Amino acid sequence: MDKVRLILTAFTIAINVLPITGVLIIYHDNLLGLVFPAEVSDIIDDGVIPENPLGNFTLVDSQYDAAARTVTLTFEVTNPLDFDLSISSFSADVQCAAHGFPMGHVTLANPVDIGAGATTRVVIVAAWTEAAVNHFDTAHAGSESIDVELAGFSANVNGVTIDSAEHVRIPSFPVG
Amino acid sequence: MRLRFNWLGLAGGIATIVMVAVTLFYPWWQLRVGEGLLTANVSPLNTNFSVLGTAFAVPLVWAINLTSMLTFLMVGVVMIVYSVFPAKSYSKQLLDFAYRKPLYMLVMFVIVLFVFTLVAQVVVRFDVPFVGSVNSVLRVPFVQNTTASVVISAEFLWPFWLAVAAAVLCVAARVYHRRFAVVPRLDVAPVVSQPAAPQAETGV
Repeated sequence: MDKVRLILTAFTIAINVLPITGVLIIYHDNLLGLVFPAEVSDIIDDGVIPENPLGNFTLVDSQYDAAARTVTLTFEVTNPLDFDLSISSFSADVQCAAHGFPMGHVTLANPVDIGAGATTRVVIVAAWTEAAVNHFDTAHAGSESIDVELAGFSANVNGVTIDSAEHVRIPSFPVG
Repeated sequence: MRLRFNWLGLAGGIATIVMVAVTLFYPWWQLRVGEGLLTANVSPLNTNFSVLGTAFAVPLVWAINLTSMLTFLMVGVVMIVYSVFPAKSYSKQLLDFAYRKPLYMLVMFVIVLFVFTLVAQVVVRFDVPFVGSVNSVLRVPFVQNTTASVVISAEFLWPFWLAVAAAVLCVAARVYHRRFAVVPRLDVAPVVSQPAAPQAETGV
């Protein structure tokens, strides 16, 4: 009877002591590593979020539909991050940067997935109001592109919805 | 000789060992943030995280998990040994050692998880559900007038319910053990009562 109790107690002590002692010995010169593993340090050190988190946007095509008053813009976007991006939606109100005139709305045409470090084409559609078209004709006659401001935007990236009321200036935006 | 097993104990022991094997691959509780942004696979036996596709385990938690895993394995083996020999002199000791541990571990796990979600809400001011989904909103640091909202969902997965079943079976085995309670045997010859001999008269 006592022998059974002794064996069970010995096993219990060994089971409780050995794993903890083992990791303490392994990490004796880096106790912080016990709670912050190397992978976490790598995520922070390697900079999951680089200096330019938006990557490179290159306008490769622009088509204006006068009847529908829409501009279809195709960008080549490079994902500079170490993980895949899944952009479900993007929308923003647009106004003329010079005059603060409300021009319309831009939206992401289709949801897009961009692999880590990959480059993908992203199509954005800008829909102008009739008043905006008149504004181009009067205030920016002859211009193919003007400086615009995104007057707040909403985007859904990897399930995170980012809503901002900040004004973001975009130079030389094709308007027609 | 008729073999008598404690079937509930046998089922509890086997369920405990199966639960250990299953938990190596499936967590008891899973927390998901956004679409693959952060995933926490949590159980007392195996806890790991995935942040933006990078999977890792915390060494200290891994050691605690290993301790729990070995404890559960020992409980399973001890329960099986007890269940096969429930009427031996040492059986009660085996049962007393094993039957409470899965239940204690389960209760501790639920308490720790609940406290963790409360602490996250109070300290980090971030809604972390215990079960279900919430839409957590936080202000983006260093960017004015900008918020980020993300759906955080948490749920108990089926290995948790297997652990509940194993714990219940182990406790039920203790209740069932009363059937095997050893009745103390007296190995002395029965005392035959005899009529009291007439006391010899003593002449004074």
